[in-house]
Amino acid sequence: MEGLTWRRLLPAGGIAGLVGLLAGGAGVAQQLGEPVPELRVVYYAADMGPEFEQSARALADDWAKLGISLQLVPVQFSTFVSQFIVGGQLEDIAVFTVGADPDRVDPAYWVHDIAACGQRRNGSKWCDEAYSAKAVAQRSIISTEERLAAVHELQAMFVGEMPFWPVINRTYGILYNSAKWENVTSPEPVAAHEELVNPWLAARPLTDDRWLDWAYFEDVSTYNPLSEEGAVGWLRFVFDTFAKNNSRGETVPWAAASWQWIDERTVEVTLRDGMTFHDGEPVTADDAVFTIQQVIAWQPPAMSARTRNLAGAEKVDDRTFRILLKDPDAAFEITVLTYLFILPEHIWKDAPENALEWDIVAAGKVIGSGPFRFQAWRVNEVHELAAFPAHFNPPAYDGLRRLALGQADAIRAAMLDGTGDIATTVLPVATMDDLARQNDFLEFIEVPSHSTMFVWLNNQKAPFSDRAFRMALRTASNKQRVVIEGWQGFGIPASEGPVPRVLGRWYNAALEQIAFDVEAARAILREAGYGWNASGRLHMPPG
Amino acid sequence: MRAYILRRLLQSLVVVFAVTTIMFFLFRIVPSDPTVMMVERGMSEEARQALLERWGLTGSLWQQYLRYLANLLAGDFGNSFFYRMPVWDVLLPRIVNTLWIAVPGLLLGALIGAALGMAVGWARRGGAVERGGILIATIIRGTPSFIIGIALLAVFSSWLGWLPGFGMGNAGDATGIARYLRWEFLLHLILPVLAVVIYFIPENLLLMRSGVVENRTEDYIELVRAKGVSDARVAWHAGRNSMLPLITWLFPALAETIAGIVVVEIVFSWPGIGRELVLAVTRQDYPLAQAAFFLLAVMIVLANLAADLTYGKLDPRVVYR
Amino acid sequence: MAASPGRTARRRFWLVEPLRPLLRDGFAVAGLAVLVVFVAVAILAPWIATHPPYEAALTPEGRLMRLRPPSGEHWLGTTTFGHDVFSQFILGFRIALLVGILGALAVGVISTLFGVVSGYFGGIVDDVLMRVTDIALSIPTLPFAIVAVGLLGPSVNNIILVIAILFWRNGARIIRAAVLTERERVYVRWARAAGASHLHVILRHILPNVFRVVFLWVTMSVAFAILTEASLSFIGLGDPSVVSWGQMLNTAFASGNLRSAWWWVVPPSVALVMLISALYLVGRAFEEQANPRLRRD
Repeated sequence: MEGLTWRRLLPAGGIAGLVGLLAGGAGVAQQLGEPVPELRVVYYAADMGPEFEQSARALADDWAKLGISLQLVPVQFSTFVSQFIVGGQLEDIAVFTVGADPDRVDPAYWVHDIAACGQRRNGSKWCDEAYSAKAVAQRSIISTEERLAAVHELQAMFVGEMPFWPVINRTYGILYNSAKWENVTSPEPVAAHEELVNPWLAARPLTDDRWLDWAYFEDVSTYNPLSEEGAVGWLRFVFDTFAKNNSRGETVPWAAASWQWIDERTVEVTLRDGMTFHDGEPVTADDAVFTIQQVIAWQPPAMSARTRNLAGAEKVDDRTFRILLKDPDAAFEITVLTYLFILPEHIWKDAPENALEWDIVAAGKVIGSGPFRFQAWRVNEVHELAAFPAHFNPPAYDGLRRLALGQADAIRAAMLDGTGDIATTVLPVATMDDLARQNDFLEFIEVPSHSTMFVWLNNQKAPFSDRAFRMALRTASNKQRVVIEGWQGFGIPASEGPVPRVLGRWYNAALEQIAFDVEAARAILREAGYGWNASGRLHMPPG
Repeated sequence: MRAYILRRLLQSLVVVFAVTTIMFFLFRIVPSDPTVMMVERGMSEEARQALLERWGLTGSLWQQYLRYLANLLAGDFGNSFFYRMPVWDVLLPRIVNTLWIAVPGLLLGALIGAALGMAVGWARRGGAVERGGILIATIIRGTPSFIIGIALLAVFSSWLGWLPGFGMGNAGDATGIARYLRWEFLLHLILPVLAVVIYFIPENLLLMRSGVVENRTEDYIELVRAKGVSDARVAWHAGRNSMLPLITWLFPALAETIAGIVVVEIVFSWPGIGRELVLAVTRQDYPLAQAAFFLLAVMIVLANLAADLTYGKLDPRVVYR
Repeated sequence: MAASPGRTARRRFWLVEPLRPLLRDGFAVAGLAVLVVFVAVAILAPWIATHPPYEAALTPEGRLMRLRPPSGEHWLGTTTFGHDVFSQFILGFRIALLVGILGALAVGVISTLFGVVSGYFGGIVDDVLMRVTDIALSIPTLPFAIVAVGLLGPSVNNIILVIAILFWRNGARIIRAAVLTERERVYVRWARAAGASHLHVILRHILPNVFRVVFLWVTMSVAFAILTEASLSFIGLGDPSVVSWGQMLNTAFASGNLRSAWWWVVPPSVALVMLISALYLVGRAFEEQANPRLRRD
């Protein structure tokens, strides 16, 4: 059956062999090692939208010109995350995106979490001791200038080794019903489903329908904030964080009125006055201290990247407490203060022993202090959060509904028939744009972001353990083609190195950009001792 | 008779047991490791063990299997990996939702199909009605259910805009049976049910027609006709006797159609058991997928059992051994 | 093995004979005509297709030619990714027929083996095989296909494997029933009494006479196989390295264009309906011939 596809009808090896011959003899005479085995390219299956398959296909089409054969393997989103991104099970190549989370405006995620030895999210399993030491160290550099220099150097080291690389930065879209809602603001550069203020709290109803219906595709797996990984943004509607990153990239107070550093390892946080939980109990420093201490005690794996450095917390007075760190952390405000949430002590002190597995919906204990309070969840149908008017920044409407519609087609239909007021993802951005052009009552917002589509390689396995092979693959990656053919123009080709260009000064603009060039890629392989057999198939260096 | 029922019951149990076993091992032999999903890297060994134990993933495959069977006998399907809640709590409302489109769809499909089948069967052999009926029925039978769904969506939801084209509508605060007694819900129900009806008519029609054609040449029909009874009455006589294979076929078809409704549920974003099964498989949520599959298999076994017993009741020629 | 002319003729007879009644049935002839056209398109597909199936059509300015309605350049328009619908559609003929034929052949072999052994030998063999068949019959079809392909991975090989596992069971029963009738015939008893081996009896007397039933089941299995592949692909469990009609519909569905881009949705839908219906029409003619009470003449 394989012989029937176009790709196979004109076998990759055939094209490559031809190109090789034209380029001056493909080393048929030279000694060859083992053939490079067929490589599996895993990517997000269509449940995350069809763009991933098209992107993987466009990339693989060019890689095949190096004389390797590739097998495309779609993998569903949650499986993908658990197996490849955090599970360490990547076999060969992964093509996928990481989301535009709010705390990823700090470089720590990009240079450390996904690239340092043994990190939970280092799915490419690259481990360079020197790089790792530096990547760990940069987080402790409090001086911004010095940290900037370190982060830039890390990027240069990274590009020199090229363990994996970004392909495009994604442009998200928001489609909303402008006949019913106004002031739907752009969360740029963060994805809407990870944000709280924009567009959610900012939106204002124009009609009597005061429930904002979010036509979304996926369900939430749990309301227990210690365990949820996929819908952290949604849980933050219910559970307040201490700080927020705004759309200008600044970290601004939220549940905390202010904070100040006592020393490099101690930050004193003052809570906002007059906050209450959804059950009417006041929010106090005791709750905050309790939450941090319990997080340290329970060590939720879902939170490990952010909470590893926490040493403890102590109360100062009813509204003030201190957070103690193990090591100085330059990214603490932007990644941890914006992520940690406040649990009500009077409820969680009675949590069962395995608190991470506590089903707080069944127990009727979904109590936070956020701008929305939990109202109802019908599995795989709908979530309802009612406005919490006592919040310091309440929504201007009555509640928020998250419809788990499962697929783009239903989201489209929901937006057209008025069931949905706002759609943010899975419906391809290009389709959102189309719909807004075709319908007066729909408005489209483009949201450029730091969300990045990566190519990850299993650095522990040949041929990816060879820098030359990685470089060749990188040089044969056509970013522009992926933007157009995969993302229908809604994205920008990513710059060199792990840090997205939209992160501004954190991005090392001095890095040399590698141009797409299949011939250059083949030259890299040839120099490293790789060769091609008569039919153009790539072989490893001999011996 | 009693011995026969007992024997069939026993057989059914064996079948259920076998299907359960096949499923259990199918889920365990696949290349990807089901524990990866649950066990995070960088987790302490104790925490890991505790977690594995909680999910019944400790011990040899054989021990896991025995424990799984024991739990199953106690009616415990375990907890869903994804939802982190008991599988029953996830599946029960899904089953109800599926029955909402399956039962009316099948009953209407069977009734309409049988009526049309009778008409076609009784029509002049080789005439326009017969040939047209057979041709149309065969073409519809050859239409995959998702294409029926797409066509219905395109016409009634997108083009005419008469009916909603996804989900069950928002139930608001309604719980329990009240959820289903809303006008909005009924509107959302129409297209998926229609898809099942259309999908189900042709097989009924063709089966009924064969029955009628077979029967109309029988002597007693000639006798009835000779008595000067009207054509419609004669058709009814022939039809009644053709109902037998139809009824016995209806039960297994019901189960098989519930299983096949998966695709209809996906097209219409209907939160039923089939769509949940697809999601569970793609999420590698084994407890949930296994349970959904188990329930579907039990449904088929029970339906086959019911069909056999009903057949015996209706047709005195069947002798129980 | 040199076959005498008489034997070849005989062999040809039981291969061709079951086809003969088809030619007397108008619907079956129509179905066969459709099949012939489809097979021809499948064979010639690479030459008919005007573009590589996943080639993105770009404007001179380098913009994607998305969702273009049919035109001279793209006879059936383009998809949201600028792929040529006509070429994808044409190449889809191959996958449909390939999956259908390979799947049905596998089904035919397994069910014939089961049915003949079970029906011919009877007794304990029959009991065991029929219990296995009972178990297999209790497996919900599409859910099993989803689980198996979901776990084993979406590839054409796995899809065919699943089809073989799923559809032999009904075939085995039907063929067994036919064998039971044949076994009791006088000439079979005579052959046995004259000292013919079991193999000889099965090959010479049983198989030729149940061939019509086998043929019927294989025909129906082609339809079931195509239907199963299309359903799996539509759900998103299709093999991404080939182009199939189910996948075309899945992409239209997943990109939210299912209800608007008719030129993208109608061709694969119509082709699926035509192909499966044609197979059913052929199958129906067999059935009518097999059942004397339904026969018109």
